[in-house]
Amino acid sequence: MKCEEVMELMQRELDRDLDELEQARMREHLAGCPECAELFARLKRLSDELEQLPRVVPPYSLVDAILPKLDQLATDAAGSTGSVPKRDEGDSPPSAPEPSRRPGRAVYTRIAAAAVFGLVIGLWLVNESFFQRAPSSYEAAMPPSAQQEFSPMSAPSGAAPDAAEGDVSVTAKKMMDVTGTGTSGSPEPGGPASEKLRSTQGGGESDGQQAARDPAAEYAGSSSGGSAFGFAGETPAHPENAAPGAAQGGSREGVPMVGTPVDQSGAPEGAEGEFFAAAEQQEWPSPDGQWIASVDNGALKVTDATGEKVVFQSAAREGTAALVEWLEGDRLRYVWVGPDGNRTAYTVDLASGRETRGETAP
Amino acid sequence: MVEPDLVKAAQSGDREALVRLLREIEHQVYRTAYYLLNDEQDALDASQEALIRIYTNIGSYEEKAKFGTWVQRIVTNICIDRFRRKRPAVSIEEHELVFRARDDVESEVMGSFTMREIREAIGKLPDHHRTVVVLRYLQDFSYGEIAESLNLPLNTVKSYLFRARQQLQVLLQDCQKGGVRG
Repeated sequence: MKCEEVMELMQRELDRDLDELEQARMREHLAGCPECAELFARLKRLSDELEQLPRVVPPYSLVDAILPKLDQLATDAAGSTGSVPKRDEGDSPPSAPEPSRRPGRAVYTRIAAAAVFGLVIGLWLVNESFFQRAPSSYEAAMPPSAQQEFSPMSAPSGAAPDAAEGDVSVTAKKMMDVTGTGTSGSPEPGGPASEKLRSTQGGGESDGQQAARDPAAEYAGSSSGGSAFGFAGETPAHPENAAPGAAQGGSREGVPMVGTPVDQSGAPEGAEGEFFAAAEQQEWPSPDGQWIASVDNGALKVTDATGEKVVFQSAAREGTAALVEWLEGDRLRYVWVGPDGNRTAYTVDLASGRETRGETAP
Repeated sequence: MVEPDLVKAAQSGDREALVRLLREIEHQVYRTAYYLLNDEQDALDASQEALIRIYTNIGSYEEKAKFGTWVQRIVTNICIDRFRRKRPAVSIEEHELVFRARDDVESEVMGSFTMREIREAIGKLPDHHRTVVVLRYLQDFSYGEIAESLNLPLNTVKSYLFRARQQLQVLLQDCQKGGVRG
């Protein structure tokens, strides 16, 4: 077999596209061709690293940010054709019969209301000095590599009261998501905990409305959700509408971000302790409820849903897993924090039962 | 994976379903935009444009394609347009300058390269190669799904992806030899 032919096999192998026969042919060639073997090693390393690229998330909810625009589109289209998606909130007066390009007054009212609300909470915040404690507790509980993952281009979150929305709220929310609903619900497979875990893969994470509605996720949503605000228990019909105004006023115009800590007023005392407790949760069901990852005697273990059949177990190490994220295709990524604070990222492929290692910054 | 029922509800004019649908896909959309455009603000703008386009064109989605690939087609088209408008002809030399002058804000070491090095290398690939790499590695798409998203033949997708990895491997090797890492 010629080297050029093997090149395609090597490339397809990286995409797990080879059958056993093809794999055997490739291995046979590599065993006798050091050049191809070296190239394959390089390509494999590259591919592994590409697979580990952070699943970045936006620093604020994009849907919240465009809701006013969507409202306007709906209003415009309703005025001209009447065939657009209907408003279902019932919270604004019927649009004027003539088509208008201006955002409805209701939008301005909501934005203004959200801004005023934000200011009040911002003042309260400064007094309470929430941010002077909370972000550091998030940072302590979260490896920097994980924070990096969420918004790698943003400055690291500081302790200032005007810390950017994305850094704190997304980080906090992400942490709650990753750790499940340990403070408020049992992590049953397929239940609320796995629902929240699924959101780490990119689904509906910032859906404050959903979080507010879901009793099991209420704590996670209310204590961290930029879009949940304080409306969770007060005006459940409108969290979605309140968010965009505050998102714009907050993150774009430098008004102190108010979303995150609002609900601390309603949170039980000792919330910091609860964050730590949540961070130490040691079971992570897969989004489909089929597998459960856990830390067992210093090893990351994956079992089936019954917890009896072990499908993967890492080598035993000192420390614990800090961040577990299920990926598509029965794979999961986790960060292992050693006793010296060193963090190492691993990706486990359940199909092959192997894990690959990638280092993270100390 | 977006529920087909949610897509149907959104298509039938249920606005709440449509907004929920957008929330479910916003991170996927942003992730692609972020790695294609290599700039957070551009990615935010492009993602919002894509979400609005999905909102207004939801009626034109047909079930014969996967919803996820339809979404990725929209966001990749927007990103490629933006990229071409913004940087019609960037020479390798200019890229190098930017590459060396940047603050080392993304010095997180991933295996043997930093994330920044990998992202910069992806940014140097031709548009289609870059798009294929992003869909393969950031959306975990199969060859078939990439082909569907980009409306390309399967063999073209493979050839782009294979060449892209070859190029990346060379770029990253050069970058290490150049002692750029700090």
